[in-house]
Amino acid sequence: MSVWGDTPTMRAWAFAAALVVTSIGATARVQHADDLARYRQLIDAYRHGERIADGDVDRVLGAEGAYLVPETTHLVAESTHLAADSTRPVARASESGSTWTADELTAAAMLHTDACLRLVKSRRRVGTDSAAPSGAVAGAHLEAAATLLGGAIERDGLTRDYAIRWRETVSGLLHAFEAPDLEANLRARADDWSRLSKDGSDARAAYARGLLAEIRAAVAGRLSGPLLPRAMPISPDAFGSLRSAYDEYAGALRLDPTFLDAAVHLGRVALLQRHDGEAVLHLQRASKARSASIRYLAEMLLGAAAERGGRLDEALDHYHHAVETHRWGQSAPLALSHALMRAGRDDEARAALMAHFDVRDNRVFDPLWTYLANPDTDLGPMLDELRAEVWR
Amino acid sequence: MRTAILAILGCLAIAQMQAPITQGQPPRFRSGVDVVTVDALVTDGARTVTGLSAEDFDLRDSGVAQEIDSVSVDTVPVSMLLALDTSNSVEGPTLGHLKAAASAAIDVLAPDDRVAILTFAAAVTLRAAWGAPSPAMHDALASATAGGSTSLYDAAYAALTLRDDQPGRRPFVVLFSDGGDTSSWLPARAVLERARRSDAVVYLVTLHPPRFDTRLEYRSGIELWTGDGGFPPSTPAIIELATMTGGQMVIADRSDRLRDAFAAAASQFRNRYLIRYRPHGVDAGGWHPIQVTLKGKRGTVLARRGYSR
Repeated sequence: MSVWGDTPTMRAWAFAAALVVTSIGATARVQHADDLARYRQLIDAYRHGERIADGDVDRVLGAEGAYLVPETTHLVAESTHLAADSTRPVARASESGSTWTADELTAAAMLHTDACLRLVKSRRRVGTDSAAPSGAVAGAHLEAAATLLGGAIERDGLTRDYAIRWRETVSGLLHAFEAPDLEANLRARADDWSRLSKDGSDARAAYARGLLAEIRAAVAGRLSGPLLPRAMPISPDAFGSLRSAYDEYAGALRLDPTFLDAAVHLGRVALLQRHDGEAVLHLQRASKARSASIRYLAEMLLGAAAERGGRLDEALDHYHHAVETHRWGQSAPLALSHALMRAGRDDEARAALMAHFDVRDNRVFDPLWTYLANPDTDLGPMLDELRAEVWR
Repeated sequence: MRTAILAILGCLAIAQMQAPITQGQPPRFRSGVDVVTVDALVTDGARTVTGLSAEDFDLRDSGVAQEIDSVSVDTVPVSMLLALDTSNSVEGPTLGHLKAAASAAIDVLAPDDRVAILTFAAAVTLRAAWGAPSPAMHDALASATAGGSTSLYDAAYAALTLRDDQPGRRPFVVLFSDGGDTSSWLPARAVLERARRSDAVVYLVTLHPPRFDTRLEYRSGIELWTGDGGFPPSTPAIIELATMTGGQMVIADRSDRLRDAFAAAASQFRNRYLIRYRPHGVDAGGWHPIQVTLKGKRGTVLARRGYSR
């Protein structure tokens, strides 16, 4: 039986209680091994916990903040960073010899990111300046997150795609929250990841151009109306934009064959162009991605392709895989339910949907919701996606 | 009150249904075993016509006249599912008006009726599972917040699929949305297909006349079916949903009129006739178009266009 209890809330409260007990009995001397173990438990609680929305963040941040009290004192007194002290859990978890996995480090980075953003946001509300202790703590959290992601990339190079999205999203949020110093720090810190921008920068530029073209196609959309034929054809503008998107995504994959975000988009574009056979090849490739979000999208689109091709059993398999890949998704249980209904299995269709509502414990995020996200305006959903990718 | 209640007339061609993927010849109905129920509203202008009996109705299943077993009004308990749009467009006073409206609809229910509450923005949330009208239902409404995009079709599909599993009830869905779909995976046709396999009556409550949905950016953007699937794009899909289920579209114009609109919808539903018959002379499987008219009396009958077996 888990010491954390059976629900995310219980786990979080159990952790908070453990912190209180620890703080009562703590002395200035800290057992480093215990320290790191508790830190790991915190990350585990975070990964199992409820979504960090406004209503819940105080609880998680409260626990997290309590844990970081010594760090805060240290920071204010010595003007240094968490990562600068190798005895601190962040640095010790991130170092090459630790047993922490890339997934754990990524989750830890998101916890610190949440803490940072929460502090920045609250500071903005009350109008305190960036030199205040809360600003320094926010900076420390940001630094911790960057350190942890660096460690994750060392363990698994494919984590870099996550790190790049994290950097862009958090930079945008810091800008929106009017925290220019922290934004500049993040940009500067990102220089440490120069290998990220060197590897595949041209591929990402092509991908970005493809995304813009795909968005243009989406807005141009279908032709529809009472006088049009039933087929509701894609508009000429959309058709042209899809062709541009196809070329850019294909170019991105040629430049960086490991960049499977491009593969899933290329697959969708090919499906819209009715090149189903080719689309399936791209999507099958994307279904092997490290990112659960990409695998999920690939399975969903493979299901759609199979369904369109009349292969309902195959579609059901893909939707089942999607549900298993990312159990907080909404589209997969709906697609599964709908396909079951089409197969005449109405009771199972209802059960598939009920299962979704029963198990998701208030955490829901569908990668489809950020599939065509605008990096300048959709920062909230993009942050949600980063969070969801560390849930378990 | 100037709440406009617009009856949706079945002016669209009855299209062919894609049958479940099964093999072999469709079976015939087993006489005396398979009972079909049709929920029907009879109006004469703005007035609801009451006091009708089985002899007053002419019902045809697939063009074949049927013998009606019974007609009842307000004697069968209702299972009402409230599906409420809580996307960012309802932030502010509209959300408060919506909660009050939903509470008013619950208050219309009888003690043996049941209710469930779905809310939807990007996420579709089962806020209250099926249960008797109670303070807990009102509490569930009170906890709803607004924000995010609109998964209208996903929510509509869920509302029709999560029907009350207690037998012998009249399924009724009140679907509120103040805008178009922006984030569903399922396309409109999936919802219409679900509706054809359901006996639920859908009342659509909205603040603006729905528009055509043409963008590719939402859901997969990919047609799941080859061909047109039998759903003509001559009417916005969400209106078609109400039409094909025998429901109505209610345009409240302003959010402070939602309360009257919801209460009116719930009250009107209780005045609908529940017609039962055992089909004869028709195949059991596939799509069964239904036509219900009055014999020798004035009035318009609003009923679902058919059912799928």
